[in-house]
Amino acid sequence: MTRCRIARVLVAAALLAAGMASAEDGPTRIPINVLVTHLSNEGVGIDPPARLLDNKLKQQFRYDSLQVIQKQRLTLALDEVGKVDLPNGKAVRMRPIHKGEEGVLMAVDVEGAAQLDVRVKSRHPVVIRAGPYKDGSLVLSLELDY
Amino acid sequence: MMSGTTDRTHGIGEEMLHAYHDGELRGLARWRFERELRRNPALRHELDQLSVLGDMLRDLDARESAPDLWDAIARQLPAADARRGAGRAGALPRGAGLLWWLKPLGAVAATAAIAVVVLYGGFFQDPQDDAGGVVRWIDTGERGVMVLDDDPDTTIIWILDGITEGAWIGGRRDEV
Repeated sequence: MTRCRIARVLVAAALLAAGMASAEDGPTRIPINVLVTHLSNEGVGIDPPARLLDNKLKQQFRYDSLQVIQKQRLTLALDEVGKVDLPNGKAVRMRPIHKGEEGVLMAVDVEGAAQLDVRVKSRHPVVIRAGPYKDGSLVLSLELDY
Repeated sequence: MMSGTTDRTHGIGEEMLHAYHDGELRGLARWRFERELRRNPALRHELDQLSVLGDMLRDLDARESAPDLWDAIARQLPAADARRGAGRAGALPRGAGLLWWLKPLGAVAATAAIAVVVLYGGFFQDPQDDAGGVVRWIDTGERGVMVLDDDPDTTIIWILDGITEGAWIGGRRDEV
């Protein structure tokens, strides 16, 4: 009788563990930080939230102003499309396709500028110039954070 | 020519004649054949004819293989390689149309071109293949593009406003 009880407890524990594991696995969700900025020579300076982006861009380009227009965080499942509206009336859409050891393969459609597939690791910003905007450039930063 | 050989050669068949001619006859069989050869002029005649026929065939074969085609083939090789290369370029599945605009660009864009070309190596791989750069495929339509990945922690994809814009303005270390 005692043995039977122990067996039942063990089976119940195993089932519980399996249930917890499957709940933890769930669908893969990928957080993406989207930063939309205006890069220009308007003399307004560098917006503090854009400092990290500025550190990357100033090595390549000459400008004096980098202003954050919007900041958004999307959490997408694989094959789910996320959309961020841009101030130039266009939009950027992104869709994570595959997640592997080398990062996440993601399709990005910057409306009116480019369509691209990128494979990026977490915390590796992909900076995209989305076209001209107000005497400067509209610059996006997409950074996966998983 | 060989018909009736058996009759004329006292039991030595055509097969044995060929075997002797080809040097395949050994031991007692060879001794018996040579003994018969000494005695039988018809057999010697058959053997002589076989030798003549063999010489003719070898001569014909040599004449056919005589032309050395290597020079002609060698002359064709670079062109074939070029055509093969062109074929490959023409067969690029995606994004290949972007490269033509890179030709007229200056030094700045040439650097970008190299970056793009290097990255293009990854574009034709299986999307799930882990080898390659960050940018696996890109289509900017009629616009030029610079992919800057000097910094291992960031990839900058600078889409230009036109085909050649960015060669002289808007390029690296230039006005935005």
